[in-house]
Amino acid sequence: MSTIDVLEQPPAQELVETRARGRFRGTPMEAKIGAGILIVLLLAAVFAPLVAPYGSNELDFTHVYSAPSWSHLFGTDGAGRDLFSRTLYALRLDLAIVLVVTYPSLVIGVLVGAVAGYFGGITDAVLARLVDVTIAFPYMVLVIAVIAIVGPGVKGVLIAVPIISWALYARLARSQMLVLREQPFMLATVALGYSTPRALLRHAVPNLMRSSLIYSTLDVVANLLLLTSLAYLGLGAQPPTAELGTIIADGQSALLNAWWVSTLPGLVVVLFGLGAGLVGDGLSHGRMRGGML
Amino acid sequence: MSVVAGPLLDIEGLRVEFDTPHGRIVGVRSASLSVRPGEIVGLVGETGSGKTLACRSAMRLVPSPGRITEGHVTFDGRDVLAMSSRRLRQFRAHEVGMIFQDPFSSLNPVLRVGRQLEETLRVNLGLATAEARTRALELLADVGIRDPERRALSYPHEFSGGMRQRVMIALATASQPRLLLADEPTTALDVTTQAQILKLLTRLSRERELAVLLVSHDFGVIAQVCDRVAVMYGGYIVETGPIGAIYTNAQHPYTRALLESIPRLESAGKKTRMRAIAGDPPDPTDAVSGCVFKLRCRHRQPVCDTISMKLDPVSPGHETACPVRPFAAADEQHVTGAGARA
Repeated sequence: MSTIDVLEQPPAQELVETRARGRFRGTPMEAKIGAGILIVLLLAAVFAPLVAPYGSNELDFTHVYSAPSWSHLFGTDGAGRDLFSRTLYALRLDLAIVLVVTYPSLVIGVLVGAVAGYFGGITDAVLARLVDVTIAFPYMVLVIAVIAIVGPGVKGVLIAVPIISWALYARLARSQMLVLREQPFMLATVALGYSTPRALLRHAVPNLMRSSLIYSTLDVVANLLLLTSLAYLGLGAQPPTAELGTIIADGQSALLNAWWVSTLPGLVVVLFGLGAGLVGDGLSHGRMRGGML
Repeated sequence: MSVVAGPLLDIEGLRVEFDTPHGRIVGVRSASLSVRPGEIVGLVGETGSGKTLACRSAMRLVPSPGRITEGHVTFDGRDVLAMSSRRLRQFRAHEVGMIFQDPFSSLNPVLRVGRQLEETLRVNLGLATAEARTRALELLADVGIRDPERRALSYPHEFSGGMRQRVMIALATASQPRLLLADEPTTALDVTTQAQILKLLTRLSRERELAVLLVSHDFGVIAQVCDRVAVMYGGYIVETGPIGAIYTNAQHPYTRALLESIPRLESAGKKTRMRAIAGDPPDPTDAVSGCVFKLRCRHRQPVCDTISMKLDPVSPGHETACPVRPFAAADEQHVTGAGARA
């Protein structure tokens, strides 16, 4: 064997495998833990009807305010409903709403921001002012005002949150677009004769997604807290539908005798916040395919 | 190498202005330049001379708020400045390609290299996906990327600078353009890589009858590959001609000064000095009367305050904007003894 053999390139197959492994190896530990937490919560929510040992409104007056045990993991409430099952159903509803209000806002916001930053001039001036006005609007007041109009229930959140939350994504995407449009590869899309929609959607937007996705990990938590707060105030889904906020509010009067009613669903909210926070942290530290932003 | 024919690209009396809050800046004052099919033309000048703007004007890629306010750009008999935006896109897609100085940012960082090539082939040439894939691999191999099947799956950051510039060349020439605008394509590369890229450009030019407008601040680069050269200073083309004539018989004091500032191997060990050009380049916001170079020129005459910077022929194909002609006599001696005289 000569020294030349050592210098020879490894076979292609081997390199492809190395790369696939490398992608996970580069993922920071906090992102893995966070993703694990989120996956468990999401699976529990999605498969709530299969996982939950009892129905969400199944009454059992022989077990009122039972402490957590193997038959009732989270204990029961004043009507003998199994809190573990109720929490799962509540999580299912709440996460669905949170995802529905967060990610469409992200898409709209990134597109608006990309357009504003790419074209500049009057387009930018108009869109940027619209963003400023939206961000300056008191968030909670708008949400409660919308609920006052459409009545209590999740509809208010579904309408009010997207009205506001696209704006932060738009501002984020716009500021990055301003940097991006000066990059030679954006000039190259013009030099190659690509259409403006192609340059924007295929070449600019993928470069803008990363920071918006990182920001969205904060946003989903904020939206879950908002939803929980509204439900706590009685402005969310109406009884007997379970929401995390309503369960917490229900348990408040029995807090000294049955601490678990409010505490355990509350911890689920905290756990979700922790998971999302870790993922966001990991994404912002990790190197993502050499992306520039 | 060069084919004698009518010009493919013809720029006449080009003027590019920027209206800024701080006043009007004139990036290019008056530039005339032509490139024939299959020919490599160098455009040389220092930073701020307007060479990049002149080059980009050929495909109307002047950065905002710049405007082409005077002159004509003609490509194969068609008026580029009068094209509708649709026609202009077609023109950019099929007839001209462009490569940039910085190969680190001229490829999209989040798309695989093969995908970027396939995109051009599909969008600009209308190839089907499978065809585009095969063709992309051929193109990568053609610009000297080894193992293209594997490299096509890589992202730009996994390539070295020289390799990225090769990919960029493949991308810019994928739709078989007839003209390639190369804006300082080797400035960000080390010298060995630079030589390889220049060799690649020369080969592509010869094989595909590709005309190249090569912008550089480095006479050494220009001398390696160009058939003709245009020297730009302060927004004017001050001298243009075949590379040999410019090298041995430059008539403009700026061209001479530029040539004298190149380090030469043959002067190593001798007690010689490289001559820097005294003074600063002209401010593009100032109005100039007469010659733009007069303030730094060692051969200044009263006539320099009134001349028009028009190019006058010296010999066939060789034109200069200097009417003083301080080097008209005793030339050979001057060029070879340029360094020693200092």
